[in-house]
Amino acid sequence: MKEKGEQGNEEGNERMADARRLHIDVPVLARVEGEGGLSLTIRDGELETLRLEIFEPPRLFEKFLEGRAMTEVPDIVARICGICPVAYQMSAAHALESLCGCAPGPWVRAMRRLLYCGEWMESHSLHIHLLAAPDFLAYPDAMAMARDHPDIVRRGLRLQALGNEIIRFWGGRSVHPVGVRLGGFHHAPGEAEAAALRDRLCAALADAAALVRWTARLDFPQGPAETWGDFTCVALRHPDEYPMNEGRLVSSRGLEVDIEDFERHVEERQVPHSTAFHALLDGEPYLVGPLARLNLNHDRLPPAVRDNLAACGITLPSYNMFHSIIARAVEIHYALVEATRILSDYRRPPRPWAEIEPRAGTGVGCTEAPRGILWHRYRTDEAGRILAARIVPPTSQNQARIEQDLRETLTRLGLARSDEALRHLGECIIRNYDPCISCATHRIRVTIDRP
Amino acid sequence: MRDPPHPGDHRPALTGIPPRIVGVGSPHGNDRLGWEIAMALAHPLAGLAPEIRCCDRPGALLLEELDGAELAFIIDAMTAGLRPGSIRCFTPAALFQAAGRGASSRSVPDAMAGLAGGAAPRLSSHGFGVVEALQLGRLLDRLPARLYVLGVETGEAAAPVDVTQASAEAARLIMAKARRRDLRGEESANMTKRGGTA
Repeated sequence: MKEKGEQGNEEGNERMADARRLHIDVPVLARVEGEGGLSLTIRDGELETLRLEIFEPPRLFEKFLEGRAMTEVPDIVARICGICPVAYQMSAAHALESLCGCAPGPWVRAMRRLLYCGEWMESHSLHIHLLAAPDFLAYPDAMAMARDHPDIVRRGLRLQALGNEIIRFWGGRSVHPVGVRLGGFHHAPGEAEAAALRDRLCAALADAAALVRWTARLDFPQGPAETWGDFTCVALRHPDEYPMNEGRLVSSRGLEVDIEDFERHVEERQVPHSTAFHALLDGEPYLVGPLARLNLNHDRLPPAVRDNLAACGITLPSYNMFHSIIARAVEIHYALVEATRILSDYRRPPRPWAEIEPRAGTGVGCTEAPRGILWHRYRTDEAGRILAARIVPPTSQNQARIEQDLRETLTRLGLARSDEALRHLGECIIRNYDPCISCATHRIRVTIDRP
Repeated sequence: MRDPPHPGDHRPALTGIPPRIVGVGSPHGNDRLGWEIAMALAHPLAGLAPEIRCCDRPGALLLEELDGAELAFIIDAMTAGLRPGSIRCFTPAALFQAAGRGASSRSVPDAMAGLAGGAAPRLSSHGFGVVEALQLGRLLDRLPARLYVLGVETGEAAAPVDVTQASAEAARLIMAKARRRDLRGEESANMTKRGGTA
């Protein structure tokens, strides 16, 4: 990976780290969703302090949900994020349907998967081409990259647009879609529309496969595999498919539990420099998201996707976080293959939802948002009103891991670099996680001490 | 979001491909103005048989909405200290200049700053707005040959806007641009790459 600070006279830019005490402040991170910053202090060649600072105000969605009818939840939680609204709808729907004992059946299950394919394609394409790729090609932003690589950006926009098209197909619109309801969908499109969409998706399969090969050829920071941190990956795992809406929680350390046991293993903590929680799995940072999913589920990819990836020479599992861009490309390819498969059997049902009877109880749902597992828990009364809600988004789960990665990778790749190079490298490391800071700042714990 | 073209007069435009009108916005408050005015134009512009689309915070995918058009008008809400409902018409080049200048005053030329994001750089994809999308479109050679952006002033405090009056003004501006195309034919092979106001 080329870095801005390394252009020109590298030796001249470098200083002896052990002879300086410096503070590097990135007040606003560029090319991430939402607003956060990075602050680090190096003393005598050692990293003294490092903080991923999230200062967006908390958004309090869990409190907004209290007292609302359960049927309103999918539309409310879709407003949490303009990039991954489907994930919020899916986790909420699964949690509340589980609570009420509602099983929507195979048709709804398949179409939810199709909808999720659209969101993965849209979110991953946006991140690869507009946010992450410039880092690997030494451009300051996507505009500059587009000047020299217009065809790459055009291909990315085509794939992103197809993802949006799938979401619009089901959601009525692509931002904060409104087509999802508890038990299924408000409306099912016709078979001719489905066939036309399938044709457009099929025509893009070659684009998606080529995108995987292109990302695999990028210039990644290298090193012996054993020098990369062997961090913990966490994802859903399903018996026979790449995970989206269902599965058990598994980790690369051997954890395998039901999603209902999430809170027994994951603890959220408040840190002074962030309005979002830090989550720890059994006391340790962990990774969720495309690379974790791929590391734990690459054997669930269909042959076409697996073979294309294998031809790129990438060995899995990978603990090089810069390979996240490849993982996103693989998931775009997978989502296209899966969407065309689902649409090839499309039949419009008489009614695209299952009835759901409100009841009192507690239900949890966990699905694979583009950025990783998104866990919801709801408690309701007999009328189906929300008494309590808890939402744990992927970015807050990744926060502690991002700080761990920054410490390890900045140290491994060299604290003696120039300030500008360190600042840039820090931002690149953070962008590997595609953090959605707006999603992460749902809530904040307020402790009032009254002696 | 893309709404279907409004039903209405489907007579072909005088120069072939019908003009494209793209309302940009979101469902909330005066950010809907771009949509409401775009949809209200179907009747007054029936003679042009425009293709009208509305899209919800499209980011870079605004370029998809413009694909295939020769003459296009983007209508978007702006906050520039003008009278609520006021409309200003800009070329992309003028918007790019305003974005680069980082205009901060409330003078009329700086009405563009409300669309161009003023001095603040766009840092995240959430902030990938109309101007950034058009800049990307210029680099990818994906902009219509003639493109205008109509900014509709929202007012600072979501003041009520007379959509009927604003859409009448928008229709007048669009008709004037479309007529210029009809009269001058080959005028301005690529207005989008030229500086200046509209």
